[in-house]
Amino acid sequence: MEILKNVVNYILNLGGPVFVPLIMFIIATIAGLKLKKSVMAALTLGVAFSGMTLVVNYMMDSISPAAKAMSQAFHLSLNAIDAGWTGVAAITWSYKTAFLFFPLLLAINFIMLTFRWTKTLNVDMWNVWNKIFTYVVVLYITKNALYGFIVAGIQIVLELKAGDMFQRHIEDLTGMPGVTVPHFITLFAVVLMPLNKILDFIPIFNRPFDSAALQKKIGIFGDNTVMGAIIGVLLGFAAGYSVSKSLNLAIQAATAMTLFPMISKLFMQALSPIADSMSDFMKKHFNNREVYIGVDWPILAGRNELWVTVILLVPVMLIFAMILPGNTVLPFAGIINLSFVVAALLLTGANLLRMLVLGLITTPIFLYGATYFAPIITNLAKTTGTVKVQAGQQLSWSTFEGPDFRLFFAKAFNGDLWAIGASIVWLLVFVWLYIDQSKIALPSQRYAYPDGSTEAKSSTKVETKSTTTSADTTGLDLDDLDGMDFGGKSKSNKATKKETGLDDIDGMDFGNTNKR
Amino acid sequence: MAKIIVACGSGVASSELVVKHIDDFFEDHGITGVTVDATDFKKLPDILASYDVYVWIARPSEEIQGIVDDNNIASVNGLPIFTGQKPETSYKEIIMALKNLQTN
Repeated sequence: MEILKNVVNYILNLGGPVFVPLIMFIIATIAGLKLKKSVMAALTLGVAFSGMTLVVNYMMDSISPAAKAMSQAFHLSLNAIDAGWTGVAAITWSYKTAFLFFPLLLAINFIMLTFRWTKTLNVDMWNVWNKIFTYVVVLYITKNALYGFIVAGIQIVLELKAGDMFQRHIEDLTGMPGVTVPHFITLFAVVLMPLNKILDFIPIFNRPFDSAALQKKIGIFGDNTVMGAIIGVLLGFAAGYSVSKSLNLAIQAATAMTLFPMISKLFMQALSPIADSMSDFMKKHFNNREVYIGVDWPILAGRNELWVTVILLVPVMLIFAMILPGNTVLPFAGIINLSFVVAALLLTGANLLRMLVLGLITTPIFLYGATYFAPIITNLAKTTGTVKVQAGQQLSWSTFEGPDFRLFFAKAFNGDLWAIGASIVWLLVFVWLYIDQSKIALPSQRYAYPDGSTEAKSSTKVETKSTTTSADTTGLDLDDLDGMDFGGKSKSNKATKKETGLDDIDGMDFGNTNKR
Repeated sequence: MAKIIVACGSGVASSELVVKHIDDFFEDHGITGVTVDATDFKKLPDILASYDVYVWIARPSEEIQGIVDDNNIASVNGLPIFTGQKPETSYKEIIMALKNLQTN
């Protein structure tokens, strides 16, 4: 017994970046993956952890001194550095019980589908991480692992119900039938719901608004690299740095912002074998049923309103961070507020004006959420051994996902009476939201021009068909493809021609397949 | 070298998943000479023109559709791959698009 305990402790003490890839390797092997692929997946996961550690530490080292200097100059206390969702997700995946949440999600979804309590089949295994993170938050506050699993379970149920209620709106907004987004961030619609109802009484919010032109103009500012550089140089000046030092900070900040998503990709690569086998398992069991396939939110990202809103909210976030009393978070890697905008897009039916107003009103909720939860994120980073956080510094996430839900439910399970009340109210508003969203007019018909038409003047919708028609592919047998090589091929576009030709020595020849 | 691009919100999770699936498909069928990249929607308009095939999971906006048309890019609905519902339809379209490319 003692020996077993020692062995388990030894393995746990190896630290997240070693321990979790080890688990990954075992699971991948059990799932029947080839040895080469299991080894690759496990190693990639370890590399992703180390890579993220590298970038977060780099970011902390370059930004923290400037944040400190600025805080002193303006008498602020911005000591929490913002690692964004990519940083927090990385730290969360390295948590020791992370992999238990795959079966939890599967089991709950399986039961709910079997008893027909939901029509949503969630195959988005990447966002298991936000259930793990909820568990970590609840565990930290209540010191009780069981409560952590219960709240994560409640979250999974609510996400599936949100997937059910938003499906018809998502079909209307994207033109894609049969898919939905059972994502935690859609639950922020509960907070937005009463506010959005108030806007119904103001006429200007009941008209459509075209955002395509606006997006073209401001699109560049949303680029991670550009945004990092701008924030870096502003921070440098605010800290009283010299011009040369500020410009250097701009490059460092741009570097961190550019590298974050690059490292995060590695997580996806490493986790995809597990995610695939999990979602295959689910699909196999419910294949002959009419279900909505639940995927990650980017299927909505074709809507201009979404990007216009988050980019315009960036300066709002920065200003609020400076003026909100008690805020400790300096917005950086998480400054694009995806935690708000998806719920707002779905709830308002992509009404840009409403989204902007709701964003203005609710930005402080995220900053205060980030301030409140900073010690938990800092603690998680320390216990998983992924990131060094120096004394007097904290790690946080300026657009903390679902601060309302996580705070209320964690505190409720801790026995706080106010939180039990808040959680009940929250659930009641969710029921109201569910009923409302099930009968409210679809986004394309909800808002009318003064002449009564609902047709947008320059519609952002474009009829898009895949350029190869289905007739083209009927004669194509996927089993006959083996050994094709496209090394020498490219479209007839002068921009790409110079890059081709290096690989056309190998494999098959498609010499006669010029474009018609 | 034929080049395929997939885009999503942060160029991290969803697009990377689709890229991985396409790569695996190519590997399983011994298809070589194709690179598949992931990016985010904010960057897409700047880099799309240099790609041969755009596999989308969110319906192309007017701006993106314009770039696709102007640069002779094949656009393929990648949603079947993303959701795992009948992914063969997307793979067939990708192969057809690749076959239609010019050989240099």
